[in-house]
Amino acid sequence: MMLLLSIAAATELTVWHSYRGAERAAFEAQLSRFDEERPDLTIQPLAVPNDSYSTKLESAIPRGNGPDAFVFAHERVGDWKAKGLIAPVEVEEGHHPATVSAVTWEDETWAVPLAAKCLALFYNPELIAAPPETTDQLLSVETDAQFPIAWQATDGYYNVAWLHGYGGGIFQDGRVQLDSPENREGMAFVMELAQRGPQDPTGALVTQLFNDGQAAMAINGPWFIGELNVPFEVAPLPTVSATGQPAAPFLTVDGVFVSAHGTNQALAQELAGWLGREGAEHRALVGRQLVSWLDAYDNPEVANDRVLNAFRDQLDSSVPMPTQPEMAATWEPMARAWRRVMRGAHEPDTALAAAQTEFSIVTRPPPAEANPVPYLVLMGLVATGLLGWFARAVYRARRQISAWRFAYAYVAPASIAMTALVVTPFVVGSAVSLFAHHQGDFTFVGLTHYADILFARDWPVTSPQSFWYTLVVTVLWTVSNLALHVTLGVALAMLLREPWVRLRGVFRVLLILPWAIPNYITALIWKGMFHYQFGAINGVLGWLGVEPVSWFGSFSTSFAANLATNTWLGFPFMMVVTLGALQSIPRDLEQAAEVDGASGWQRFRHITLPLLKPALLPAVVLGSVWTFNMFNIIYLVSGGEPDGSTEILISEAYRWAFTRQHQYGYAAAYAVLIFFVLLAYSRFGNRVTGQKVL
Amino acid sequence: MATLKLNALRKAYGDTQVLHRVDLDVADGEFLVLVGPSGCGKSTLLRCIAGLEEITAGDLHIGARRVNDVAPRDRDVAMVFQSYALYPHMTVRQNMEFGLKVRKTPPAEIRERVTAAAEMLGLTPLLDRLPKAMSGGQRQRVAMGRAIVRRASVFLFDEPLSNLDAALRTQMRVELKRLHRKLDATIVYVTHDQVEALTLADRILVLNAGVVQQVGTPQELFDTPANRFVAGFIGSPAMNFLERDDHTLGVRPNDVLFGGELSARVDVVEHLGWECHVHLSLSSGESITARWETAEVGRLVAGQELTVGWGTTHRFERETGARL
Repeated sequence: MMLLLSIAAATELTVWHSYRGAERAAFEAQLSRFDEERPDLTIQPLAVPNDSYSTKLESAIPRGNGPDAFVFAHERVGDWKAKGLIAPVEVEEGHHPATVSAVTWEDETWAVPLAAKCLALFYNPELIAAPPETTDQLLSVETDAQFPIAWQATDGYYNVAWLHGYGGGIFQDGRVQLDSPENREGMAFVMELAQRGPQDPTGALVTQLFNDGQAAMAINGPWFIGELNVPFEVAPLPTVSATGQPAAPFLTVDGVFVSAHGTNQALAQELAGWLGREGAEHRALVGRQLVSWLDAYDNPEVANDRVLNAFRDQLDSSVPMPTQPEMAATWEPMARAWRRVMRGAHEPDTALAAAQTEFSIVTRPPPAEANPVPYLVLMGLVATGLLGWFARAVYRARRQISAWRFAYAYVAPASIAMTALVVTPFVVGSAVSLFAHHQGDFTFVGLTHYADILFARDWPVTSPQSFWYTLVVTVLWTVSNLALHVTLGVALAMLLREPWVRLRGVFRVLLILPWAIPNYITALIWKGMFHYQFGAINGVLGWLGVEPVSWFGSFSTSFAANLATNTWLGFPFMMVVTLGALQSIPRDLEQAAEVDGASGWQRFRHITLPLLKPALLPAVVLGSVWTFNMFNIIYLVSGGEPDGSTEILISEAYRWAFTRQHQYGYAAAYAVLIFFVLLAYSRFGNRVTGQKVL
Repeated sequence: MATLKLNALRKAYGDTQVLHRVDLDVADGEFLVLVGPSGCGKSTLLRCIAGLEEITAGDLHIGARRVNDVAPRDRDVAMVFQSYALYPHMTVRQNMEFGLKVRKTPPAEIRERVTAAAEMLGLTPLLDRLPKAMSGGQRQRVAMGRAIVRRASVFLFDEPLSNLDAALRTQMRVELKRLHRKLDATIVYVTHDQVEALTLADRILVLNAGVVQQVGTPQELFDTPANRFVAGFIGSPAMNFLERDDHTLGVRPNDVLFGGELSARVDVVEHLGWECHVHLSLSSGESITARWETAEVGRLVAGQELTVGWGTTHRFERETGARL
């Protein structure tokens, strides 16, 4: 009874985190330890998957469904403080100063640091005797491996260490300054270093090369350790010879935050402080974390861990990831700049200048607030008009409705569901397009977004980011895809229909392979095949004696890569539709045409094709609508490269919503425009075909 | 010269022999009918001539040309299908023009030929209609029209009347005969209906299970059938067959004489107006059918006893069925 009462009386603290593997085990072990030491408290941990973690936090906390405390990287501090999601936290002495400054914002600390992550230099001692200590040494390392060094050279996060080493960086004097002379020098150095590494390196490629002994060094973070199966050592990044400054990577600090909406904030604070201090040694040893609590490094076991200590040394020359809200808007422009210079399309000065311009466009202040009254009046009128028209139609047909009332009743659940699931989001989405979203606030701006988009106020019309350019690309994308899908699908159906009983195996493979594999996977596989250095396509070309093509380096080849992938995915649909339609064409007709004197091609053109039209037409319309909105392929294969020129409307809308400061209103306007384009297309399509297809 | 010559022609699908050795000479302007029960291979033979089936062995000559390896479009044949095979998305005029258009015939000539053929078949008011807006008889005529405009050497008809009702069929038979005379064309015509065969043909080829039974004029087939199969196939009602010790006796119903040496009892009488088909039981137990004019025999009733005799008889070997 007492036990039950005490359990019932125990305060519950929910703690969220997104750790996995060893880190998770260590962290949750510490939570259990705290739980045991404090019987008046029950700790309720929750491991949240990484990708949706921040969205979950931001939506749950204000509603009161969030945790009392949660672990997250420090970067969102400014953003969350502005949104009122977190409470200030006291951080005691004993944490590494870099980690403390990471969680500081506007002169207050907002999380207790737990551990930090940063990049360092990994090297294979069997391939390199001693790690280079300066960049000059780095550039002249001799090794038997194919690549002296491998790292994700097109990712800004991995390169910023060098920019810091040259005295540059993202922010200067509190403002975003991408286009500085120091950054230009740093970028030039990185370009030179990249010559010594593989082209288009992805994370997977870096891991593979290092594990195969093809890369003697790699730049990566502590997460790399778990993927390695060769001997390795870690050293701090070299010092920049030109400036004498060490290369300083970004520091990401995991800290325990306290929710501002929680009901047990004092207890949560206590838990946070305890975790940062008491759990440090265990987390360092079991979780292999680079803990911020400095005393933990006095532990003999920790002191003997060379890797941990190498990272600890790197900690002294690291720059906490800036927490200003504008930071999030620098990633895309910088990534683009890095890709441009790696491709050889730009020199550092023009690339960085373009990046600065793109950054300023994306972070432009939101449009002025518009007067909602005219809109409300208009909408009121329209709504009244619609209701009146609807009421009148119902009144007119009342006898018929009464006669058919059971039919209407049967249809009602489905209609309601359709309205709720289709009409409501559409209406809400359209409404959102009339607002501008800026750092959590929605302002009513009326049709400003539409004007900005259609009149190309943000980007010049010819820029790849402009609506019109993207529209042209999207139309080109749709037309070329459908042409290929139909041609290939019909051709294969014609080939397969006669001996299809015998060649059933072939037919099935052709059909199932593109369809059964999720198109996400297919897209990634094709992207890998188009890799400049290690892709299968260039491999085959090389074997045929053709120069390897940099597929994502120019618009036409990048577009072709997307086209090839989507055609692979799209032709089975047309093939199946055609095969079905072919069954319904009597054999006699083609034989009569044969006797009449028609050649194979004439038979196909005058007899078969016209009779296929009724079946193909809806398929083509459907296929074109799907292709118009085929986000997966564009996003996953070319990613819009080069420079966003292969983006289509839907992927561009995505970027506005999710990578460019969450400009939901702008993206919603894009989406509404896409809807109108497709609506016009379907109406036009009906007229052209003469059939009421849609 | 639109002659047709089949020389030792054979057709097999894999190991299955469908046509065993066909020898045939069709003269210029002849109306030859291929007749036989369902599945005997007559349509296959027709399609071999058209080129829609490949000939396994033997030769096929159209005119002086050996056409075994010639594509259907180059064989100068025109075909009317059982299902008419009209192009459903084209009007009557377009259907008839199609064969000429694909051969790049000059437009003036196309128009002239189509108009002439339409007139010949009474299709002029229907020229701009689609097949689905026409009756069976009209469609059949369009199919024929499509063949006629081609002015081919040989016309092939694959059971063109079997989808029509009885009255229309009779009417079309007469029209076909008229057409043959007007066109003076060589026609190969497939049917399973022996009445059509007898009325239309200059000569008939009877097929059974891929084996040629007899080739000859209708009268020859009727008067001197080469074997039991032909005797039983041609003529309606069918010939009576009576087994004797060393041969089979065949007597046509109209060769059964009213009054003779054999006693018989009436089983069933079918009254057809001016004639009746009387099914009789002989004293030997065998059943026969007789065909008598009602005026001659009067009103017969079942069970009535009478006598019959034989007129012209045919004798066939018991094992092979060959004529003796």
